[in-house]
Amino acid sequence: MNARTIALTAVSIAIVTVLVASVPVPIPATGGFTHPGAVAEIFVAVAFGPVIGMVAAGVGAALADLILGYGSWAPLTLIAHGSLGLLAGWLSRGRGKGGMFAGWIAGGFALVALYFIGQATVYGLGVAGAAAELPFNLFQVALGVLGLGLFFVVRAVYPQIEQLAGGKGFTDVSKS
Amino acid sequence: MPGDGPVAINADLYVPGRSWAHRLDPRVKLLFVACFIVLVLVYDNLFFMLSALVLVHLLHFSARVPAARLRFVWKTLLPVALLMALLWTLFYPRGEALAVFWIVEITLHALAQGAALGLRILVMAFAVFAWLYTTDQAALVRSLVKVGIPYEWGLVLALALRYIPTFQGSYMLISEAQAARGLELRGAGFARVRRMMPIFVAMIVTSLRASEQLGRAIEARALGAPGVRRSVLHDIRFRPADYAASLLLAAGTALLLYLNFALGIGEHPIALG
Amino acid sequence: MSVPALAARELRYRYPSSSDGNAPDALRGVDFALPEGGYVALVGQNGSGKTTLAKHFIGLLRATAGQVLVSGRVVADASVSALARDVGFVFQNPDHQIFNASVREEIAVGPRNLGAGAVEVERRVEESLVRFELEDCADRQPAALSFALRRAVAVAAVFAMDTPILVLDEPSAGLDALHVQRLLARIEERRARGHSVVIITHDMQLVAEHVPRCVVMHEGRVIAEGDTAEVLGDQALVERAHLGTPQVTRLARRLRATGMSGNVFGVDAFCDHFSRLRAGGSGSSALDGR
Repeated sequence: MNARTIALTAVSIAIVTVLVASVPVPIPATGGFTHPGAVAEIFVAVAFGPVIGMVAAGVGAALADLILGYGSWAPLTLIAHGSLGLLAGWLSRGRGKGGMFAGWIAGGFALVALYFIGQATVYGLGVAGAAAELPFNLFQVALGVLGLGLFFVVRAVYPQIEQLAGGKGFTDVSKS
Repeated sequence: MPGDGPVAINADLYVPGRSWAHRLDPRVKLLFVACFIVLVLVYDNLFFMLSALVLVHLLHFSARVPAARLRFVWKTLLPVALLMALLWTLFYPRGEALAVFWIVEITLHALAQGAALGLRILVMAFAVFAWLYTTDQAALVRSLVKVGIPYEWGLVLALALRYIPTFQGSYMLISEAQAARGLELRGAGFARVRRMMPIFVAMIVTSLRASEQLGRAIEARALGAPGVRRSVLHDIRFRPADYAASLLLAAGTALLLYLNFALGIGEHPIALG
Repeated sequence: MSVPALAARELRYRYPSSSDGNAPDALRGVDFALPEGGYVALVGQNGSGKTTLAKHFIGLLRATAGQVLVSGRVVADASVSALARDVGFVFQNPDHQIFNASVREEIAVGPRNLGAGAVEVERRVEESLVRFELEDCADRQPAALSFALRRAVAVAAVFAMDTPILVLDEPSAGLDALHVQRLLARIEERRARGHSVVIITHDMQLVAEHVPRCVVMHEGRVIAEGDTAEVLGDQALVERAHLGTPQVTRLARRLRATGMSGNVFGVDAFCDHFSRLRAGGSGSSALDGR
């Protein structure tokens, strides 16, 4: 792993953690709150590929769980969100907008399914309890589609992102 | 209750101190977390769960973790624990009914099972936080590297932990800067997130800029220089107390697992033996 | 007497902090007034409360006690975006503002958020591009520009909102002399139109040369307020607030033996004094020898 990948992965994790842990999004007509974490996860996966996508989504969201005090969910979160990042990054590689869309759907499905199975079995919530969490997870994942839009906007604003994501070493692209 | 703006988080969970738990080798604490989680997943008994909860609280107290930190965990997880207890009580009746409301049967078995499962969530969380509250981030990362995680991934984690408060701060400043230009965050769900886009874009670009500089800084400090075995400044080393603690942990866990698997102790939610 | 553009009365503020319960209030009873059309520098060392005070004027922070007034109206529950009609706030880091794919779009955001019509937005964008000499990069990505240009874009984007009051937080940090001069010229244009300006800065040279009045903050209080020359002349005050003395003043003070006044704060003032000294002849012999 080279220095550039180390830095990019660390920064991607931190972006995901911040969006999951500290940005409340009201859920329509319920008075409850969710977070735009999936937006960041889809963005990172599409921009930087399956490996960084998986690590950033999984570790980022699990760290957020720990920070927020939901320590016991962290292992499940690591796997479920990691799968979302992996699938979204893998399916979107070089397959254009269709691939990105498919990545979001597949990753989102994996996340919802893994949470459901994990909560119903290992965590002992039972089918009824896991079903109660289902709409919440679905909504959270649905928001993730905006991560695709975010990717196109960021690429337009900051074209250097292509160099960051590519396999090349450093070239002096920023004038900061 | 979260309002319009971002919520401040405290990303560094470490509580500075010199207690025995702080001085324990971080790998022993990692072992403790692993043993604890395995045991509470294996046992289904309410009394076992209660004892584990008391034990883990005693550990926190003896490590002088402030009560506020423990309240924080209780506050976030109690609703989930109660929901679990309620769901099991309502939906999984077994044995003789204690009371019947319309079609809902309340049984002692379901009540105990629900309580045990709710407590399990709390016990697991407190075990993990016993490790995180008493281990500073550097030692945390070093212990993960020592148990086999490649150094690069340890570095990734350390850097991520270091950047979380930074990015949280820049997220707040960016929200302010955009609000000052007339951006109003209203609405819910998709509409709300779409309005947040300018903030996300500025935050990601700022972060990626940080990532470029960080990458160069790491490179400039000769990470991955060929033919060099990395040395470390503060190595962690097992002391006699650490060996003793590990041995105790392993023996205790083995015993409890034997009792459960061979003798069936702790299988039933309420009955002992 | 006209209504002050910005005012604070007995303003107190404490940051809601989870970890540090014993931290003192960030603002401990601040009285401040910027008259309409005024131009004032808010100075003081890091952590003295300058930015904290400024953020109250656009509603980013809400007073713990006391009152904040913008254009004579009490800021109670007014939203940030409502206050943004009156107060243009330039943040320290330009990257915190920039999120558009072209400089033109970036500048248009503020006026659009304030509800300006298409023609008006167009006019303001063009005007800002010209004034800040950004025509050449109007269609480039602002994030790909140099730091100085990104700063210029961020300032232009706030100036395009055409608010009667401007608050600039450390606008000269990281800029070379040329870009600082350009920025100051833009501020003077706004002043000529009767707009009011607060500039937060550590650059005492800049303050001495360009800003007529100074408000000195120290540990969450305003400890002095007055004409810049008056404030900089008070050496005990300068020391206490860690303001630093402009080079030209230090030079003048070193030359006191020649009859030079110690209270000279700008190059122009120095030259004035020097020529008077030469004309008057008193003490000039000491200089002649060098």
